[in-house]
Amino acid sequence: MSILEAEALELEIEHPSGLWRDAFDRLRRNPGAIIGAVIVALFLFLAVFASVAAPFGQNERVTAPTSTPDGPSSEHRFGVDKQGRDYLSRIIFGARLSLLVGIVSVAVGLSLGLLFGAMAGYFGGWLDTAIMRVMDILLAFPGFLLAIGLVTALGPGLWQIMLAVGITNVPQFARVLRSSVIAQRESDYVLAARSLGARGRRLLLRHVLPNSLAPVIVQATLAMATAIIDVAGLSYVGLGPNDPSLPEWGKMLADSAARLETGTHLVLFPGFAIVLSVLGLNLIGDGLREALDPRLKS
Amino acid sequence: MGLSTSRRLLRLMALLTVLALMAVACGGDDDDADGGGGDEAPAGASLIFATSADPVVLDGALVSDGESLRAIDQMFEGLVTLAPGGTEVVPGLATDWTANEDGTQWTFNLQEGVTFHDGTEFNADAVCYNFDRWYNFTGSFQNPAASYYWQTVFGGFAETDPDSGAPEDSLYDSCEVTDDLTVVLNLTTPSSSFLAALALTNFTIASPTALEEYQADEGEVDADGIFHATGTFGTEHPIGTGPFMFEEWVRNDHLTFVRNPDYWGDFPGNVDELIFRPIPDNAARLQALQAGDIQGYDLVEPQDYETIESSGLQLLNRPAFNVAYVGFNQKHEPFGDIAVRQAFTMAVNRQEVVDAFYAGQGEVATQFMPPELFGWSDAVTTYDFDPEGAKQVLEDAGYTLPVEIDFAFPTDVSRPYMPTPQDNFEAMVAQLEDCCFKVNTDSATWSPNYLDNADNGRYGAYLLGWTGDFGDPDNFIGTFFQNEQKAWGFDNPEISDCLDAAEIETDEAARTALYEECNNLIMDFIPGMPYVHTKPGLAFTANVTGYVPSPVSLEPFSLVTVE
Repeated sequence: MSILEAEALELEIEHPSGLWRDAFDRLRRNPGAIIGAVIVALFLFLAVFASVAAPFGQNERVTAPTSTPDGPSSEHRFGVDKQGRDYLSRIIFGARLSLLVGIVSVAVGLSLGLLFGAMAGYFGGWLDTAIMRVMDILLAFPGFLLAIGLVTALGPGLWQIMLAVGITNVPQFARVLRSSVIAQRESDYVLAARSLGARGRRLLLRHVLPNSLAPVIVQATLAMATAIIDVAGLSYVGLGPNDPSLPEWGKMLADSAARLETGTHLVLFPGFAIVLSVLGLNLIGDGLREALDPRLKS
Repeated sequence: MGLSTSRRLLRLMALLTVLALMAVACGGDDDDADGGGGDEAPAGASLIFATSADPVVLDGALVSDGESLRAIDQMFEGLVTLAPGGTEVVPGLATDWTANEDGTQWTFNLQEGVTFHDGTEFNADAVCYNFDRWYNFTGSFQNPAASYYWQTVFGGFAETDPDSGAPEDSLYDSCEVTDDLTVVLNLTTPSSSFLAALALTNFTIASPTALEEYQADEGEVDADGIFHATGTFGTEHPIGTGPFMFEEWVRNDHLTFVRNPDYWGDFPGNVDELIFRPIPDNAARLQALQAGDIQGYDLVEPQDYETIESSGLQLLNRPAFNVAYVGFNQKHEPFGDIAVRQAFTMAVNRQEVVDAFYAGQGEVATQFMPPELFGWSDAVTTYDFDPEGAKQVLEDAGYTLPVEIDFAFPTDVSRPYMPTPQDNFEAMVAQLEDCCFKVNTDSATWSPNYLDNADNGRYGAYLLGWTGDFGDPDNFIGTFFQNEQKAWGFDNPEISDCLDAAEIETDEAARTALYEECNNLIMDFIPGMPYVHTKPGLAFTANVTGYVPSPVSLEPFSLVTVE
């Protein structure tokens, strides 16, 4: 039997009642995950179709600017802001921004984390030691503090913030993947593939990595939630995007935090938006974690 | 791990949300927990006034911040002062004064029978001791962070250290004691703004005995360039002649004064004990007033005006003695072109911005100084809101629309003339973009970055403002345009010559006419867009009367009665 045939056989055995199918079934039976999925789907929809879903443009002025803007009304469900812009529309366009921020910063963290984690876990030895000590150093800084430091160094701006938040995520991804890779490296099917002649890159990319990804996916969902909080937090402490017209939730919250008494709606709605989106992502993340846990498979 | 982390995260988030809401709602609680308000009231009235920050040091010669000046005002007096609520120069420790023909020699007759709080007699020697002290500052005391106002008004020192950054020439020449109650101040060149400047709290007279005994002349500049006095005069023994005497200062908690029983002047009020309590947070100050923990506070935010008036508290307004403006840096293209500066000003609806963010306490500015001040001109070019006209101006000058410009605003700051810079900025940007500009926005924290960037000409257009220190146009347009500055990036001899001439003119009517002329010249040249003069607000409980808001915040509590 050639290597190819062996692999084909292996794939056939693996897939029919495969990990993903099982996981999906379990996910479907988890009410928390369903709620999370609905919330996230809603935000995804708003983000993608913001220009259609929002009743007004993100910078369109519907009334004259004022320091005491009107609260919610039938025409403006979330009221208007100090610049006379429809607040609901700003929140909806903000979903696009928050989602972008979440995806990009997780992509940055994930790709670098995957690279380092896989290398450390698979090759082991001095490379493992070197990479993981660097990750430990990064982990030693509280994530938010590290992000503040990075933004200060990189300068303020949306892309710099996403990069900074992404970098703070690298060690988590690297660690999760490394332990997962180490576990898979010693498993029987890898041994089988190895004994059939698979080596190095092929073994890592075809066999070890795909089977090590489950915990990383969970981590990615949760990291997306923290990324949204971190970016909102950075904006809140004044390290956000330079352009004040960007409808960033954290920035909207910061701009109106002092007005709890006179402009309650300006504080509450972006706060709700942040909490809700993060809650949704966390619920999905928790659901996924439970669904993908092999110990629960029975 | 995943489960516990994310659950913890959720819990933390919920907790943080609740905490954040609570922090905003109950910010005042920390401040009223300890003593002060609950103490037994002394025989006379006690008044607690909330300030926005602690004073730096209680030595007028060494400060430039409003909170220090406010406290020093209560304890010290100068040769001249300003009429309550105005900018007219009236007698202080000097009963009257005369100047020689060319305005270089000023003779002051002093008030008789005045003693300092420590019993030292006030006389001509004491006055000269103070002037000579300031003039003979050496070392770290010549740092602009220490003796800012001396350097602004008088220039340099007896021996100016070239590394100090202080000007070389001094307006001050000498102080002569003619007799016990007559003193002559000699100036090196004529100056007409000198007398008004003498009313500054910075030039109040301190007890020579105390200055010596408590080492007022010892201090150092730290690595960050911040000056610290090391003697105890400015922290424990500030001794002047004023209506209140120093009692106790617990840093960042309270500063207590008691009534001076031997005060020589009028003391119409009934405050026997005066306490300044620093409460940095605006909302917390309002809540402390509503709760009755304090009787008054400064720097009321416009959005709170309605709340204050509807909850049975008093709102007082200082006369508008400030200006907020958009500065144009002419070294930064395209602001070198007057057409761009004109179009910018015509594209911004200043009335709308003022109506929106100044709660009825602002008026649109047409020039760089307030109408209350002499020399204000009603004949300046005004550049009224006209977006179509702005487009026309730009097209006539050969631009294709929109014209790209850089525009910056400060974050984390609230100034009397600009309570919420970002709101002003965003509204202006929307108007500019509606008309004919493409705006690249920039921002930085107020201090040190923003001021530094603006002063060093790193911005194109930028939001800034100015509050007057004393009642003279020289303190507004002289400060801005008399000398070439990087922030403005131009050198216009016509304007600076006009301001030079006005500064030394001693005839009041001629001087007024000259400043009007200067204002016309400036607004034709339009180096910036002045947009608002505001009346900063103070709040008091209903039982406080007699407080007279002053345009330059020279507000003695000796006039105040608590019922």
